[in-house]
Amino acid sequence: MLPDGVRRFFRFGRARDVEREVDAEFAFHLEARTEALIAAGLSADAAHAEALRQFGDMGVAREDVIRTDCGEVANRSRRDWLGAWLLDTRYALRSLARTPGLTAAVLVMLGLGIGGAAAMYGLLDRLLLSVGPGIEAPGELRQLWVREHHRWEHATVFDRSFSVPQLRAIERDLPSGFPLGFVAHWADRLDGRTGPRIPIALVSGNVFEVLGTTPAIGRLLRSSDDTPSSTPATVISYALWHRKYSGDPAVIGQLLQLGKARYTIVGVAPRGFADLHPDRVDAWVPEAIGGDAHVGRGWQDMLHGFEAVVRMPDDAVALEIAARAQNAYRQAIAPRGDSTARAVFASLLPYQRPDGLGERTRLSLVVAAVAAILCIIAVANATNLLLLRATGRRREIAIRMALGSGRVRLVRAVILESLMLALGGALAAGVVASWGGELLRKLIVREDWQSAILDGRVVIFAAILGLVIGLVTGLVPGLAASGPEAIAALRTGSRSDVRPSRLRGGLLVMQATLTVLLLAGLGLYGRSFLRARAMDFGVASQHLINVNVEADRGDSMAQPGRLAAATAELAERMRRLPGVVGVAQTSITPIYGYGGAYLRAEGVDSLPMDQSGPFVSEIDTAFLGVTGLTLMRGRAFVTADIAPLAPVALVNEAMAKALWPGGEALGKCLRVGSRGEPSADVCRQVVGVVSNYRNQLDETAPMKNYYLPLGYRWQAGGNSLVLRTSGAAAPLLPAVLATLRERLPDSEPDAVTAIGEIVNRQIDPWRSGTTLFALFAMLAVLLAAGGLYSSAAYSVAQRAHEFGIRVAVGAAAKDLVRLVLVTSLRPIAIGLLLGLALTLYLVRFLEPLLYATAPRDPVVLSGAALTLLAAACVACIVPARAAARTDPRVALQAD
Amino acid sequence: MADELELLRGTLDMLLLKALIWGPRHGYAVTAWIHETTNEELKVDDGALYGALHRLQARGWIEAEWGLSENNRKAKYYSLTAEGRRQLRSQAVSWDRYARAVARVMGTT
Repeated sequence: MLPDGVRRFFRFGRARDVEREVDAEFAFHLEARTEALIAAGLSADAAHAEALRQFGDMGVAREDVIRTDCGEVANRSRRDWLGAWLLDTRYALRSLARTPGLTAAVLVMLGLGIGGAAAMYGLLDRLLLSVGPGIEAPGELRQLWVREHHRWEHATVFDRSFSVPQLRAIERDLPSGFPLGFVAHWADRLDGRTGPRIPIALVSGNVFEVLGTTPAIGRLLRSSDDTPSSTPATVISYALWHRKYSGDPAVIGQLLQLGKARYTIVGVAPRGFADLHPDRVDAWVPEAIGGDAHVGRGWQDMLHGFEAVVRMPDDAVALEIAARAQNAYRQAIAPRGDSTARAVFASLLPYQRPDGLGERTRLSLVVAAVAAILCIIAVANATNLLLLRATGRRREIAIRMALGSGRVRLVRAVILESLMLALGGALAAGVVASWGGELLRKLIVREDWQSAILDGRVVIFAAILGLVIGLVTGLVPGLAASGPEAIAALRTGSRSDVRPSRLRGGLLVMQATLTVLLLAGLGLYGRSFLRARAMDFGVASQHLINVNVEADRGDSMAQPGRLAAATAELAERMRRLPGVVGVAQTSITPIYGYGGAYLRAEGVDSLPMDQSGPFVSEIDTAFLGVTGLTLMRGRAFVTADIAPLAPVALVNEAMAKALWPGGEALGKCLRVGSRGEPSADVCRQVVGVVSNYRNQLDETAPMKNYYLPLGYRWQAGGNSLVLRTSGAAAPLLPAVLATLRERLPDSEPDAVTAIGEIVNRQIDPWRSGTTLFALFAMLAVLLAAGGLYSSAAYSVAQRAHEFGIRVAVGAAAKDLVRLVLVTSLRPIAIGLLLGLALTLYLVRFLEPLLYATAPRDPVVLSGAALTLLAAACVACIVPARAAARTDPRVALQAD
Repeated sequence: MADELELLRGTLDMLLLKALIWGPRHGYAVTAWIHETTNEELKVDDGALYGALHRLQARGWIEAEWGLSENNRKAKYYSLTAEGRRQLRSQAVSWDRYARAVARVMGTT
């Protein structure tokens, strides 16, 4: 808004012009009329008097006309001003369209750079920085963690998963006014057996109250819903409400079948609400009701997946609460008082986890760094291109200034151009952000989230960033080109600037540095991926299918003998399937699972069980051949061995070595089962030693396994079949499931699993890391090559005159090519060296994420350097050849 | 002037637009043409004609530009805009209809 005085001044100035014009017009009229009257024969005086008479009241007419004109002038100048802007806008669009390649390149770069950064920000925000929507004052919420020694993993670890009895015990001891809310994630079938499996959450009745959530409609669960005798009530997610009920408010009071339980829908959670984690949840049910229905009998002791939160408005009470919780927890897990567990209440924010960052978070931090690098490269390139463009337009701008265009008008034209580019860039950024966000979630998180990565804030962030960057990158070069020294461009012609600009050179160096970094990252990840994929698991994992043969409790099939018979029959049917080359029966399929039993071994005092075993599996005679395990020593099971209490066993090499180091395992006695069980008395002699297999990609020690003939557990109902396929396992899955359902119609789809899938899932972090790095590195190479090309091409065009002189005085084509290559590749070479140095320093952060790959692998580093050099040479070839073709006559005549 | 025809403003506007149909004219030429073609029947002050011209200009029906007169003096020339041409066409049609109606009424008495 202009100050009032200024505006009055302008109005006054305009009015004065109008008056002057009106007076001039009237004066002309009177003179013309007077002359006409004189010509008609009147005297000069009489003619003048008559002219005035005919004119009427001059004062009134003058006032009238001036008033009209002032209004008109105001209108017209507004029209002119708008018209000029429109004209300039059209001009800007035209001038952008004149260089479509450059305009597109700038838009793509801004879009990729900013959109990528925004998508990354959205992902990190969810993973690290924020608690999901629908939670009141999340800063006051504290999550319960316990730090204790974990015998299974031989390590002291932080844990935040508890069972309901533990949490109830802790809650009892907390001071009043600090209710503990808790939630465990589970899954069950929507609409009973036939529907899809959806993620649900078992919650304490008070959890919504603790989180301070307000329902979208209806009400949320309360403590009175969470007793075994309450009417089953559920709160569904906003997404499910829209998916299944089209957002109809009449959903309240309807019944929802989840697995075996039927709930009344009492309310809908707010949009995007997903309790403590971003993972998708479709329905919340009270644990007292849902535990039995979804998890099964004995869930209270079995399900240790509950996470607990408490609201602490100030930290003063935190220590006391933690002390009480710690006491209660120690009491609950070890009544004898030998627990050293420490309880900690930590912020709910993911980045404040007391146990540090998870794998996917670390991966996403790496990717975030990569995206930031790419963003910088892209924006640097856009700036570079705009700098080139502005320099190229110096002459045009100088001509326009010389023709009398005001600097304001010129600057306005430049602003408009940048604004157009910025708007386009912001738009492109929005598109890239929303598309890239989903891609990143799929590649890094691989889990369904309650809401999209992008919320309005991220989109606005991307758009604003796009605008600002677009404006700045457009304005700086534009203003420089229209500065007072611009006229000088006219005098010296287009040959003025043969020195490569220091800024442009710096940008190229930076790009080369970052590109090398990304290429090295790609190399390291790619190598890890290849190594992981090539890892031999010791069994034919890619050709194995696991089939769970299970019957529901209470089903007549569940009687031990009948299920065993059904399993044998199914094995026969499966064997006849085309593509299946072998079928074995077993209690546990390798890689698919593991199981333990009380075990005493001859000559071994104590046998602690940890994550590397010993694990037991019951097998038939076909098992070794089907899975691909090899017999190292002794003999395998024969048909006569297959009996419940057969006195034979097999051990794998790891077990043989661990239990009887230096000795011979063959002939030693294993007793399996708790004392008192009949099987515990049987001496099972080790008759053979078989090869190890790998359960996990990053196993520290090989797993100890032993095998018994089918029978001991076999009757209890945990039966499996292992199928060996001749080709890929995945295409056979439907046929296998269909065969299984012929006999056991209630079998769920996940009863049939390709073991290769489990293995591949373990390789996934490296696969997606490689994909991400490949994507980003490819973009970086393209960007850098494009930047180099445009810079080299431009400088060749600029130096045409100089080249012409060189050719005229005898330079050969190859000299010019060398000249162009040397000048263009110098910044790349500098960047390359810087990039290698930076890589050598930065790989330490990547090291924990690599698999069997040295972080300073010379092959990878030199590969990265060579790739960049090759791309740079390709980018320079066209400009260099253009230089070589310089015709001195043309070059010297130009301009 | 009391006995002069009291002109409806629209009629005057139409006459002014009509005066510019053969090309740009300065204010004096417009008034001279109107006096001439109406045989001095239409007694309108030149000042009033200027007021009307400027209003037409404000409305965007005509536009003005400074130029040189026949005897090399600076004069303001008016010319029709596209909008002015459209107005003239539609006003001429309605004026014609009005005049015929009036003539019919007068003829029956």
